[in-house]
Amino acid sequence: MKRVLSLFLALCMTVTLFAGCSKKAAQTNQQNEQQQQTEQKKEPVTITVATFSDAFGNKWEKEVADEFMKQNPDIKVNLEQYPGDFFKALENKFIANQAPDVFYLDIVQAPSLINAGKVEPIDDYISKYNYDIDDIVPSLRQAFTWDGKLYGIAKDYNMLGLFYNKEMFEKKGLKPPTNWEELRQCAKMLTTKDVKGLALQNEIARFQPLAYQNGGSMMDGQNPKVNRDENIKAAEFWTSLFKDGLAVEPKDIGEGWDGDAFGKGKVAMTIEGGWMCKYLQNTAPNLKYGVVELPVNKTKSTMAFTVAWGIASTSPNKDAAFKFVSFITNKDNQRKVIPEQNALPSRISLHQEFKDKFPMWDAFTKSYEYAAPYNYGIAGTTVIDEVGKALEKIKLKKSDAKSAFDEAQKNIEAYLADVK
Amino acid sequence: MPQKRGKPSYAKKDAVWGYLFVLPAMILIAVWIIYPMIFAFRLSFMNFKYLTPEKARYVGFANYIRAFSDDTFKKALTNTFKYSLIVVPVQTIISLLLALVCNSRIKGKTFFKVAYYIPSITSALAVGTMFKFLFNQQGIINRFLSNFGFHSVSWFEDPSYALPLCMIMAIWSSVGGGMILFLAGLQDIPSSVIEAAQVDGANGFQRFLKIILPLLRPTIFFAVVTGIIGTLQVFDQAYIVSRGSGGPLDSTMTVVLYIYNKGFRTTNANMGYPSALAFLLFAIIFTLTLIQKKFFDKGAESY
Repeated sequence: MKRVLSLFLALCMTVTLFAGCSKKAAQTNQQNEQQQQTEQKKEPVTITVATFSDAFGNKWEKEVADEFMKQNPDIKVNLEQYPGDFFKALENKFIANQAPDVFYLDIVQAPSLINAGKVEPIDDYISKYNYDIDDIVPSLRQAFTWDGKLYGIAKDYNMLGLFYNKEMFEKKGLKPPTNWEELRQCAKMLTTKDVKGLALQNEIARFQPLAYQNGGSMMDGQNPKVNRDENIKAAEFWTSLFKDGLAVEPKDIGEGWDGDAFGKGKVAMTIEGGWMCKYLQNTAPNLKYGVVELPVNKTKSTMAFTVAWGIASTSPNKDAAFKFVSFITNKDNQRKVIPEQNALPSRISLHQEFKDKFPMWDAFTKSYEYAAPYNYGIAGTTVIDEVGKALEKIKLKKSDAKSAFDEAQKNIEAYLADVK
Repeated sequence: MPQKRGKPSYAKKDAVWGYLFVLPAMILIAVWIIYPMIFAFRLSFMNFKYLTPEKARYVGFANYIRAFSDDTFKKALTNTFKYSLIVVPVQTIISLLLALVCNSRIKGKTFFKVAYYIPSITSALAVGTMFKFLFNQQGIINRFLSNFGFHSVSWFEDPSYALPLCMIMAIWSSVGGGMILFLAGLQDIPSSVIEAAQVDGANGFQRFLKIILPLLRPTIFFAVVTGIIGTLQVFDQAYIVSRGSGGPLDSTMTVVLYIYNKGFRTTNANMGYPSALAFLLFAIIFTLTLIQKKFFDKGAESY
């Protein structure tokens, strides 16, 4: 009995052994077939694209992504929006090793992410795919360049200009100011009991152009250097406008921002970005106003605010990611955002079309050549906070300009020593 | 012999059940509180950045030493103590008074209880929005004060008014909680003691000063200790008033807000420094609580 059983068992085993062999053989056959197939049709890859949540932007990105997938059936695009604090959320995704392949690379946050090695340099892809990078505004390319390498292609951008109330200017027979002296004169002439000459937000994001116009700079290479004499002199001029009663901060007159103060006719001029055109169109449709380039001192300057498309260095599908970035920043897709009037397209070749549709933006399309980016290296947020504090101190007469800026520089350097 | 053996085994069984019942809470506390605390303690001796953990290094006491030469941290400490010194006594006294009112035989005290308690359960964000309406330059408070000849002040933007605004907000929203505490304390006092005093001819004020107040001592201790701990950790009021920056001119920069800003306001910050600051704050609170306990323990148990 035992013998019969063992024989039976042995038989079973041999049979299964052969069966196994034949299965394997079948599998390899199938694999060969699959390989032949993939040579003709590639396995689809999925890339994740992370953006802020923004009604118009997200709709446009969805359309572009659908079109992109139609043209590239081998790439699946997965759009993700992080509500709330996008930059914190993005940083957390990197910390958790769940970074998206493509993401909004903010100009202030970019250096920290790049310096941590989280963003892929795209110079090689640009030459590999023959991307027409020369059409992108040069200062926007410079804004995302770190150690000589390019890390992002700007989505769109905005700059600062001088907004002035046409009716008030005409009443006094004034022309919009072109230099600092005229700016002060105009402000003086236009300041009355109810109206102030200028609304200025007392922070680096509005003050910086004056420092550059005075021949200064916030940077020394890739490191911040805010306490230059030219910057301090510019800050003295800037705060003298407040001290002489010619300028106010919007919050001083109970307004949320320059847009409200200007739109309600409480001030005759303000320094703001292109985004204010659309805001005024909606909130103050009857206001007659104009926009000119910022007044000049020693040289011209304005500043550029922007967000780029970046690619994660950890992404397994960098080629697909770059293909998407180059598709969404191509001329046709950039053209689609013009009607929204949120920001200028980052392509120089589209500026004319934008200007034709929105003549108010004429001053902005003129000033892109001398715009300095809103970028202060890896200490970005600290520079913004410290210079803001210094300006506030000077305005409240708690300190003179020199010691305020010296202290800001000291604090920035302490921060840098800590994070380097 | 079997009896002797049986007793501890029952106790053991009880203990097992006891542990089983607290286990879920213990696990949660271990994972979300104890482990992060140990981790943060380790971080406080390191230069550690989340995006580049491979570059982390031990720096000894450097983070702690740095705190002593950090002007903003000193300013934050001063602000926090100023805040605590004013908020704790004021909120304790007001909530005690409210409790006395609610404990008396007035009509509609349930309404008052509810009305005073609602601010305590309102989210700080909603309170902040409401205060923005009340205290802005053209707000109701400024208009009301101008009737008495005060100039309208910019509560949110003026460095000398922003911190008081935080204090007002904190006191307004915390007196209700304190009131409930004192109400419970007052109702715990045996009526026989108060009646005895009444028989002996003590008037209302004497009864309050000589009988009620001493008997409320443990409650006051609790209210003051939790008040000090809470106020030294103030965050939301300062965050709302300054929109997170601690401004104007660091006048609303509190220790916890500074810790938060150092850790989370900038991308890829050194987490070691804010961790060290957090442990310094812990040391301060711990010492203060010990001192208070010594101070209050004298004769606290007598009754």
